[in-house]
Amino acid sequence: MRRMLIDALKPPLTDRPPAADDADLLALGAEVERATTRALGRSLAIRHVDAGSCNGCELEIHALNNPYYDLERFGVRFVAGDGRAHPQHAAGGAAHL
Amino acid sequence: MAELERVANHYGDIGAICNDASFALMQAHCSAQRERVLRLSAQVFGHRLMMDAIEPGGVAVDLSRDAVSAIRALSKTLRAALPDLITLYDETASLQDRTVRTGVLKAEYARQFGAGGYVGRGSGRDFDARRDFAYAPYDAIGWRVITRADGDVNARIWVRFGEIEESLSLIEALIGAPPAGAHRVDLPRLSEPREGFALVEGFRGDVFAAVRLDAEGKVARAHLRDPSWFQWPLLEAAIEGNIVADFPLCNKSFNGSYAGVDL
Repeated sequence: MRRMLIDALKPPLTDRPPAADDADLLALGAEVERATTRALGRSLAIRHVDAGSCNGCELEIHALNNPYYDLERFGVRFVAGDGRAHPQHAAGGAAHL
Repeated sequence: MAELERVANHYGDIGAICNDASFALMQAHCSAQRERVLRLSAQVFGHRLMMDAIEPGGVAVDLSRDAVSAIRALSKTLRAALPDLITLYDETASLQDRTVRTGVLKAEYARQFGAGGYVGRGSGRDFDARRDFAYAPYDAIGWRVITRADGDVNARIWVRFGEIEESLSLIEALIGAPPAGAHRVDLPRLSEPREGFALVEGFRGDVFAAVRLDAEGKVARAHLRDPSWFQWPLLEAAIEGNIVADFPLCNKSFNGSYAGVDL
């Protein structure tokens, strides 16, 4: 039965990454990649802080790790705040102060 | 909308609870099911989380024939997948070992605090606003309130599974016979202050809203009461005597609203 359930996740549900057909977006992406690779190496560990949000951001961040989006395949992870994180990321009222 | 929201959140919760017991396969499936509901919501209501879909006077978007077909198709897909997911949960002994008898909420506490939703119903408190303060369309349609007596994490998962099944039945019945009339009306001009309240069964439990309008129709007073007000304090009682590693299971089985108690 476990085999059947694993098979139910095939073919992969994962969406293709969005097409990078915008020239500005391509240039920006290249610049970001240069900067982050220089500073952080190949992967990114993000610490998200809920500073009084409606939880909508949090729900959609969790969604990024579902089989459709699978953010981790790009080397991007959301991690607990125990020194493992690289950049900070915040949502909610206090985030806009 | 309410029933689709219930389904999406119950899937999210079941997956997350199992994920916290390291059973990622269940999370993979449940998060995929949730994603399907969210994508449908974006398609038929204009927003994955249904924001801005409800407005004074009604709903923002009427359902087209394509929307109705899409909803019906998704309900069929979800219903077909549900038995295997239930079996997976039920027959994984190591998972049952984590959820059964963990985070027990005594029936007496659930009653004292008026805990609603899967928290109250998982501890035998037989209350559901859709039946006990019945409002359209629930008053004209047959469906079951799901309760369990054990009050543990396992019970709260079973209530969610049962409610997913009931919600899919409700969705299918409602989509098959939509009420006549406009999807929204303009609010009448007021000449005097007016006041009203409502109790609605959200996915976490009963949501209470009271609004007072002044003579010009501006909101003079509003009180919004999230169901989690009557659930958060009970988490403290439920975690007593449990191992630290089971705290996330207890917490996620309650899934109290953080933002809701800031209102």
